[in-house]
Amino acid sequence: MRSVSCVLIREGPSDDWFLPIILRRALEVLVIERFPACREVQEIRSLPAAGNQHPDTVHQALVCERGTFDIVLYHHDGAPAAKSDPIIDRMREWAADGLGEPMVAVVPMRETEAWLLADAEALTRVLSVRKLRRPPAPGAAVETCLDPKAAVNELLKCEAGLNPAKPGVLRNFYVAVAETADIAQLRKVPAFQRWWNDMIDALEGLGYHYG
Amino acid sequence: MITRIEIDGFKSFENFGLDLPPFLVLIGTNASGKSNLVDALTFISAAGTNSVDYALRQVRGDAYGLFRRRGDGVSVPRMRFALEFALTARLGRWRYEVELVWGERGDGLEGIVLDHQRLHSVDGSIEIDLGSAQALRRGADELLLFPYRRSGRDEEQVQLEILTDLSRVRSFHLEAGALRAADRIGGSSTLEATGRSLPNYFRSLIRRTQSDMRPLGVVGDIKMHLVGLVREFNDFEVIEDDQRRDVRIEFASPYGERIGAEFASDGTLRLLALLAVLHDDGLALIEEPENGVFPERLRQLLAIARGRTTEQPGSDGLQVIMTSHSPVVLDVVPSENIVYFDMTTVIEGDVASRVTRARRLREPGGPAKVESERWSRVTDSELSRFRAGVEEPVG
Repeated sequence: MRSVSCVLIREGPSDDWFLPIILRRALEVLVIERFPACREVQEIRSLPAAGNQHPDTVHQALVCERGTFDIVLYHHDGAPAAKSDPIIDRMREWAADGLGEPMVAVVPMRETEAWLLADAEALTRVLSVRKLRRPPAPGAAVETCLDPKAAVNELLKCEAGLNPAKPGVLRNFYVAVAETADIAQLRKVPAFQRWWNDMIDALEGLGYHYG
Repeated sequence: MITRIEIDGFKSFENFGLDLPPFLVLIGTNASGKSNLVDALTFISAAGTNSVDYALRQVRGDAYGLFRRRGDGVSVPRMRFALEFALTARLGRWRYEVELVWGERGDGLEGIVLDHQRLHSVDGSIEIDLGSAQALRRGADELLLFPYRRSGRDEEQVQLEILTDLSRVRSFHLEAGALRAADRIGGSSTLEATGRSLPNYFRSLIRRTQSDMRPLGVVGDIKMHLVGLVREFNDFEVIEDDQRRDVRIEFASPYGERIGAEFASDGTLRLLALLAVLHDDGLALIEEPENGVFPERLRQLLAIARGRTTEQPGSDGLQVIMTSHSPVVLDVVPSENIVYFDMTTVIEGDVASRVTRARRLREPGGPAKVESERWSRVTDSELSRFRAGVEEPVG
């Protein structure tokens, strides 16, 4: 029985509220669609000690986990491109040079929060409102949002009367959306679909299509 | 002693297997399946020694709800359990396998029924015929595993020893209200899961273990440990009141004051009950011993538990399995006696289902993956998260 296990190199603590859950759920759908011989998707484990800026710290963290994972997920926000592109490129080159396990980039167009806004129906359910008065731009258009973090705060305040600065509000909102969002809606977001395609390549490279 | 359990189709378990040493602590977050393992052992031991109906009353959930539900909400059609036993040296190691399905009971109503069961030596060289499932059905009660065909002395002895091991499985999720209650003279001396009947249980422990030299038997040891753990008292007594026809526990303070159990703290009563359980024999399944207990006292209690299980190893001794959320466990209990529970996703056709997984801790410098184990071992980064008591990783 083939099983897949991933570790996540992430940017900040709030990524841990959303990415490990949503990416594991997406991977479950992906495996069902494309890799029927794979029978298990394990929890995605975040490695905060790895940092996400330099290969050295990432390498140290991965050495401690070696043998427990098949794929490294590397997350970096896409904006500002002038700052993030060189870092992402450096990590990709380092991984290609001899990491051993495949590395798949998880790079939202600007910030992870854009992916939180991709499924309006999920937001309605999580906030327990009849409908959103000002729903975020749907599907691919969510990437046109210039400040996704501000949009999330606005959503919580205006739609549900919640104060995002209060303890637990943001964290529990992120977790609830990660557990609720429809993966099909997220796949309409180009940056998410890029991650999806790269995961397929990585799993094929590891022979998961053969079982 | 039960040395291994395998479970498939019960609650959150899918093709699950776990070796059970004399002392084991199950750690993990809420809803990771720790209590489900306690339920599984309680259910199969109660069904094996009594009946399915009786077993259902000992665990959380209704009969149909015990079958594992897949991610699409559909229940699986059967539950499978396997237990391995280390019996006396002469009889060796034995394996009991049982499969239960949803079907028509002997009384014509629907319920959990026996599909088939096997009892054989672990090496497979000897099998004992337990009779057909049909022959074992009797009305609403579905009796599992009993000496059916007396074909030889050893075979009967194997079944008797297994039944004895199963009958000594006891689970505890203590509640302070139940621990405070007085008992009636002549009432049950079986300590209930909540801790009810503690006074009569103590009387029974004294009678079973007393000698001329030690009239209180193991209860003398329990007194010493309790005083060491709970400094506000220096003794306790089990008071038999013939006029009121009740039995109750009273504590004595160093200043001569006597305090009834109804006025003792929750933590003191829990520690008293846990010490009592740890001075009995059989398999004790103890849920969350840290509740209401100061961390240093928990540390000492865990050390006593571990010591007690190694004092009397083997089929006549004590075996302890605890569930815990406390990071104190990582400081006191050797890593080989800890198992980490969390959830994983299994893919069944086009359905994703969340099920329990159990992993051993990685030894310092040891391998991350051991060939005979289904999952890789728990790494330091995961333990840091548990130690800090947060579900997100620790930076």
